[in-house]
Amino acid sequence: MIKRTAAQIKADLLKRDQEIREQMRLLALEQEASELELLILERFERNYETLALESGRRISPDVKEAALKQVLMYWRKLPEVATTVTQTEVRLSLPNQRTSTGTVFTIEGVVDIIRDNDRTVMYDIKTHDIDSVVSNIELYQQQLNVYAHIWQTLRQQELHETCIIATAFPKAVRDAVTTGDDAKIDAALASWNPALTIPFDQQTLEQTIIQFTQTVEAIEGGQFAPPPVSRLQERVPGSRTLYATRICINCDSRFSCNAYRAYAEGDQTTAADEFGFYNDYGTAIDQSEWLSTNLSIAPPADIDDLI
Amino acid sequence: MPELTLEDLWAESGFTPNPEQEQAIRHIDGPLYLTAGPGSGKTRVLLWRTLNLIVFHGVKPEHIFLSTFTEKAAHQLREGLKNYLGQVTNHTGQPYDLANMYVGTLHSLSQKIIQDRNLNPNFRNGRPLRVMDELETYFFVSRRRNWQQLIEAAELTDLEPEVQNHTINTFFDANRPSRSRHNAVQNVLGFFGRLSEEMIDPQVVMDQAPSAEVQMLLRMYARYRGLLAEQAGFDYTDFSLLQQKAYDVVVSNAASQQYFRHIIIDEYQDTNLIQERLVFKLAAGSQNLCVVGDDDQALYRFRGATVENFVEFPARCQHYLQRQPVKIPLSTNYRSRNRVVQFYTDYITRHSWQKEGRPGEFYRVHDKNIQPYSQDTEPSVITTPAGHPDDVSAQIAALVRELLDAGKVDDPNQIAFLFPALRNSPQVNRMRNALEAVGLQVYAPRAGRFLDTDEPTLIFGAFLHVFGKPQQGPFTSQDYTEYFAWLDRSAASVTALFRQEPQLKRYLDAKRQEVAQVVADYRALLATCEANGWDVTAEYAPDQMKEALYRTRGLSLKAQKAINSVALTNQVRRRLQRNDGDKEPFKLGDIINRSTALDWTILDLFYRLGGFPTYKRMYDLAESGQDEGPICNLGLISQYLSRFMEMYAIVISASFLNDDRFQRLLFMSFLYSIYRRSESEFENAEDPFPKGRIPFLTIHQAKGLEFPVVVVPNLRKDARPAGPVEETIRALVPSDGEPLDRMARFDVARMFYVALSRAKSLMILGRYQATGNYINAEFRPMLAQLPTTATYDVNAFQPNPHREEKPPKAYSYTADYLLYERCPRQYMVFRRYGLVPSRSQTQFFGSLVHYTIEDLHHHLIQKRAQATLAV
Ligand code: SF4
Repeated sequence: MIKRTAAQIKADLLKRDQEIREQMRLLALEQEASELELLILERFERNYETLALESGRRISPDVKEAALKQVLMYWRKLPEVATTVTQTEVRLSLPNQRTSTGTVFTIEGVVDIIRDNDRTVMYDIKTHDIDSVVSNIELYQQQLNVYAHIWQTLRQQELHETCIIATAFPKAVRDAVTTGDDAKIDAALASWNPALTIPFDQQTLEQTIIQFTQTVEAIEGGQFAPPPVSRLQERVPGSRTLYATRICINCDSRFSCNAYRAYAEGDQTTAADEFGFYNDYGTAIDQSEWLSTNLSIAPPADIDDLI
Repeated sequence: MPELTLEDLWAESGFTPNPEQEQAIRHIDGPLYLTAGPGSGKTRVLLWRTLNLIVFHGVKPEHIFLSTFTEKAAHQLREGLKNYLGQVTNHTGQPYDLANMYVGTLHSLSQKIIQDRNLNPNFRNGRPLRVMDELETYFFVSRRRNWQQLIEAAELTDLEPEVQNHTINTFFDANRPSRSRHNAVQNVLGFFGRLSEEMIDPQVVMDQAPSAEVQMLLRMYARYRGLLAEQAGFDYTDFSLLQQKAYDVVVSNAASQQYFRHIIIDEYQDTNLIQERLVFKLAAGSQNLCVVGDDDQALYRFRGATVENFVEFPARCQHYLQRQPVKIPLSTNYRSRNRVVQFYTDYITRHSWQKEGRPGEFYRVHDKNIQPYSQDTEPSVITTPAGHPDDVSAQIAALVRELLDAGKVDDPNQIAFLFPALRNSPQVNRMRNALEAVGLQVYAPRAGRFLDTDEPTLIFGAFLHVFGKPQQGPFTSQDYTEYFAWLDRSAASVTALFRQEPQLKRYLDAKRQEVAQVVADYRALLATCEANGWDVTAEYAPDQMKEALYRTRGLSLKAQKAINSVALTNQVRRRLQRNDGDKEPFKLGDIINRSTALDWTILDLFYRLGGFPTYKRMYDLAESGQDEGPICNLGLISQYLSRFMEMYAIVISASFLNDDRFQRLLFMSFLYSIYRRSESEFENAEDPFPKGRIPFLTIHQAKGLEFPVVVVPNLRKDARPAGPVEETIRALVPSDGEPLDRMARFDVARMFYVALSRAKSLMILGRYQATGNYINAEFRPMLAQLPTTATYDVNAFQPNPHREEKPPKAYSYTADYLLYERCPRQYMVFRRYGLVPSRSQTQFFGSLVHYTIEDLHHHLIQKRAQATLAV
């Protein structure tokens, strides 16, 4: 029998103790994390109800679930952001803008701020995926320019970095999900970085504000024509997809839209079937996903009870 | 840098308050009683007063409770506040966070109270709250199973159903009691609402019930509350009981009575008993209760509002808070020209408001002294010559045409026609015809049933072609026959298009064919199961079953594909291996459902109809700015469809379609109920109204609105006796409110007062004088002195120069600018006209994600603050 020295025993005990502590710490963290996930669930439901009450409408369960997933994934992916945010829902406004007809309006935006020791970072959370942010980088740059201007010039606060967080799953993750292969999904999730730093400079500010004002004039003047069909045939900047197949395809009012109809007439794929134009419900995969989520809600069993 | 002051901010936003307004804005201590006449700028006062509290008196937004009459008004207040606070921040660098401020209707704020841990620490211990709106409450009570329970409570089970209904309805309408369940449900729900608002406990008052019928109704009410309590899963409540729940929370938790430092209630004249009790409880600690309102504009007695809350506010303050409020009258009317103000002030004082036997006391805040800001003496109230309604209508139409032709107003939507009621009114039809005769179009969302208008008729007509028309049963009630007539008309309106639009016919035929096909597939697959002795509720075992299902005789190619699809096969495998979260493996029935479901939802179909010329025109008219009426109606239809999907199911599976179950649920339950409830458009009218049309509004709808020109063609409204519901309430809870026999006259006076105070520049009144047509007595001498349309020269029309500067509109970088930049038309359809998207539900989705992430951040920030504090 090997006799252990008191020192050894002590060291072992200490080690055990440390292990246990570490485990408890991890457990506590886990517990906190799961408590936070519970909080997310609870707030999510409440926000859903409030929004439904305010807007008088609701979203379908699959969309609702996707929204919840985004929030949960944001929390799991970027806990360091979430836990260091110093100000949330900071409402930035640029008041006293004027259209050519004299209407006064305010430009508004909402951001989150992280102030860490000597650095201040501004975050804008988007519910699109990072690919689409990258491909429309100019728009976002302009946007953060306006926000940075309000923050720095009007509010006289310092700013070191502006950043976009895109909470939607990028294509790589979506693709992985469709394979149903867990390893692939994990890998895709691991290599996904939802945050993107956007450089800001004040050069383009004035131009952006002019454009914004023109847009307000157009809205108030009731100008609602769709873009020309040529734009629908163009690729969305920086992406491989056309405007029509990226934006219009997600627009329920495409069937009544002159631009989209003109585009579709020139498109050969629907020519074979008289109603091919109308029978498009997304890809087979989209459709299958849609069915799986929505079929779980069974229609009422006893119709007579309801009549 | 000198300190920022209120004056600086006023100067910056071009606001010069009058002395009363300023006094009200600066009042911060103790109860405040603001009597606000029409057009007296009360919204601005509320806005600046709140801002003053937050910015200059350090009150945290979350400690302010600010309630408004509609969600829309709340939204505007919040936006205005954000805007002005944004200005402050730009000066001082001090940011303000309104996320936790209590701004909303008393209903939504009640819900917030119940769910707020600061006020209700026990909230999480119970079931989650589920608030049913009016339509949902209706569906809840009219479910056969639930209704049966109420009938049992009423002890009417022995009678035939029709007799049961008849017995109930007799109480509410003894002269012409109907036999329909629908009416009985509507009647008892109205009564239940009043009982809840008056905080009546059925057990407590049972012995005081004046009659056996009232006892019966009280038992039904008790049963109803029992039913709500028994529902599994959620804590169900209706709108009226919601406030009682909030009140109970505040009463049972003393800390919550100290929580709010300021309580501000707008439109206080339209609050009811439970609301009064709630707001005084909330103010118990701070005593800072500010009520704003105008008793002369009280309109909502039929919803339980008791104007006495406002008129007797000083006495109630004394009672609940043991002190008197400061009273500040906001009496300068900026909205209307001089003569308009004189006219309605004259009108209201022509009624007697004296309390009997109590000299010097009134049922009205009688010392208002409303003053017009405008001092011009030009005619701004005119009448037609006395005559037959046809002539009166023609005169009015001609003048309106002239005003438009002379370019005196920008758009027909600037001329509002106000009526006591729009439905089934011959006067309304006359007026409409007269306007149409001079080429003017009317927008009258409340004039008839919404479903009777063109757009719903055409949309649901197409649905009938696809899903088939329900069988008409042997019932003869008026509603039933009328509804089937509507179904026929709707179907026929679409058939009538077929000659012109053969493609539409082919499309609808194809959809109909799809419906028939999935049902046939479904039956065939069920037969296969039966032949093999498989139970559809058994777990799906692809190895044994797939082949047989696939080979089912007569199965369509589409269903075959679905059964064999790679996606499904993978999913089935994952679930069998329990690799798909905690989802159960598929049942055989799931597989059948999946293979026989339609690819599309009713909203998908709705949007696809937009491709065919007649429907497309509805969108085109909006896009070109010619007529917004049709697309507004499309917006509402889309909301109903989305509601149906949300209540029942999204996917239309063949098992749902089988035996016409879907068809009956859609047409015989959902739409039929909407038809019978005469559901029309939104609670609050949209403003501005659709361009290109003349709005016809009920006076109730016009509440809070203003128009350059207002026409009141029909100045007659008879005072009806109080009715059995109010009589019963009085018997159960005696009060010294307005005497039942004078109530109705008061209400008529207030209603016309609201109508008469909407005009900014010109008011045109009709003067009926013919057999059976007359105007209310008070108007007769008044109209005799007015200039008439016959002599009025439209060139003399002067717009009221005073413009109430509205708080600037906020445009969001993302939700407006980026969205519009992406596609203006998409912006129009979904953001401006509120059509509910079928699959992409971007906006709601975005807000939901953002709000929740904000909540998470908020929580973490607070937690860190607490941790630092602890250290
Ligand atoms: S289909 Fe929709 S997104 Fe595309 S152009 Fe038309 S309205 Fe715009």
